[in-house]
Amino acid sequence: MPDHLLKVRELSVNFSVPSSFFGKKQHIRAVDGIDFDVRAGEVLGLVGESGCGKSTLGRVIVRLADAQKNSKVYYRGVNVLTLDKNQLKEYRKKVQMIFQDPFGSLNPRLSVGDAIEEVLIVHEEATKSERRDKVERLMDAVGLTRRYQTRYPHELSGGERQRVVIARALAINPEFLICDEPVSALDVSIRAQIINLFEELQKRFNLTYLFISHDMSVVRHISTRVAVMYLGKIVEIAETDVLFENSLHPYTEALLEAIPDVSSDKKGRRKLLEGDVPSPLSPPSGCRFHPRCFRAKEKCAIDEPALIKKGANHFVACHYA
Amino acid sequence: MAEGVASTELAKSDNTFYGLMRRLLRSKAAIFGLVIIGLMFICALFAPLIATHDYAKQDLPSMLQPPSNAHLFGTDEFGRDIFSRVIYGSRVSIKVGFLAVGISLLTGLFFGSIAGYYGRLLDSVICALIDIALAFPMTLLAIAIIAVLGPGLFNVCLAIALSSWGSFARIARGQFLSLKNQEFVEAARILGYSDARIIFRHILPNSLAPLVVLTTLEVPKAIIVEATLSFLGLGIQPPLPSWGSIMSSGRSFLFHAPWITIFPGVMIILIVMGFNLLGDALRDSLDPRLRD
Repeated sequence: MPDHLLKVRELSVNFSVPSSFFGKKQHIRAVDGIDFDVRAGEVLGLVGESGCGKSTLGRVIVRLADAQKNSKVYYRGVNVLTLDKNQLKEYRKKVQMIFQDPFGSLNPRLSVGDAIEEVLIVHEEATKSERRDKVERLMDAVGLTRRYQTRYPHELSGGERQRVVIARALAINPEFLICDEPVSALDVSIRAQIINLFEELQKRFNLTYLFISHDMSVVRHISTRVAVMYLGKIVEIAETDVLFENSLHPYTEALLEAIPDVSSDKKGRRKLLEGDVPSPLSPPSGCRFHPRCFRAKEKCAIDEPALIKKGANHFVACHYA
Repeated sequence: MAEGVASTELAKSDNTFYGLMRRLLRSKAAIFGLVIIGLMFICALFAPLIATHDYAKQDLPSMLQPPSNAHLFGTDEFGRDIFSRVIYGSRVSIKVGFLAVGISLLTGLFFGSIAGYYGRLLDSVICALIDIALAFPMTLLAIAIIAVLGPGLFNVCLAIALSSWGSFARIARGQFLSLKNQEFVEAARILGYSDARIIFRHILPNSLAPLVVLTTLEVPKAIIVEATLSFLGLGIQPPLPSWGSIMSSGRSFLFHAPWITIFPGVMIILIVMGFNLLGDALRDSLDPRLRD
């Protein structure tokens, strides 16, 4: 049994939306009863279309959003959803989050050096010169030269900003990083550099990642395991190689088909998805994917498939997988 | 990416004080406003040097004289020099303008920020208070408060502040409400920063721009309310001269000695215009959409 860093059990998140002025509040189930584990030292990729709840999942794990009552998120065996304020502060020294938008995640009024140093001021008792040393080491680790210290966020490119955000998160010495679409807002040319930086840092600081993305090729490159989400549920989870070579869920297949491919032999037989993700306000009955599924039969509209083991570390939620 | 663009604009717009001043001084109206306000400050600061006579000294033989070399703005019914009284009156207006707006800015910022940051019940209660405060016409509320507290410079400031803190609170609440969901504030929460640190170091500095604009627009309002109260005899008490009370005393001689009323009136118009021009220009130069 590998060492589990994070165990998520029956995690559900509801958002309430007022339907009309006097109407009853409606609930959107953004995340619906999810179970998964993250092992120490691995990179778990989490993919899905926008609106499927993958970002919400990340936000709940760092306690930026609240989960439903029966949900449980264990970090090293402790349920983090019931932590009090002081315990939460300790927990957040272990778990950090990188946001999608490097333009929005830095305070426009703090210079790069100040933004990183602030973390050390809050969490470490060190002298000014010790802090400055550490800021320089951190900036060095993310590939920023010393002269960036006095720069302000608006003077930096997206890639540079994301490096600052990463350095700031690392300043706290975390074990576990939740990366919420960390490269989606970046230019394609910068993307590879930042992905490589993530890989390098993972080895160097012995980090574990939950890597949220909608980009299959990025996830394939960085992840050791991949979970596929659709409308608030995990539909398939497997080792990266297995998932990409031998995917069993029709939704995963469709996502893989959607990856642009230069070789022409696949042309004409792509199983591309039609239509949009149904509204989470009224998810389809039975299997949530059945209205868009090319494999759907009658049973799919009635019975909801459970996540079933189909191979070593390979779980699928489909009646016909 | 829309958010990204917005926050870059935000960063560029308030990050450099120098850039802001450059944009501001491109507007002639702003320069005009700044000059007027500057002159008023000089009058207030150096009143004893500028005034040609003692503002309180009565000189009955030379009462109700029209403007002349001896009395630039003429004299009132007690023979007091209007020019000197108007110069000293600028002290009252500027003191009241800044003290009253200072109090209401701090009060408004305090209530607005906790309403915006903590939300929920606290927000509903404070919003109701703001609505109540803003429902009364400023002058009427100020008169009522003066009636309770009694006249005097500090009480006038308090009365004005009590009737104008609502606008500051409302703007501050809106700023905090939108900024607290920005990613850099969420990042600060995940990094384990205390609420105080998040509020004072991350939200507050980024929320000041519209409050500065509102301040420059509220100062002239406060000056007008003070003049009104003094005109009605509820504000600054004699012998201290205030533009409102000078105008009030000239009311009975409007046809024989209009200069008593005209000169302080012109001063009020000038200073109010100065602040409004500055405020408008400031708002334009802080708004990224109107830039260049």
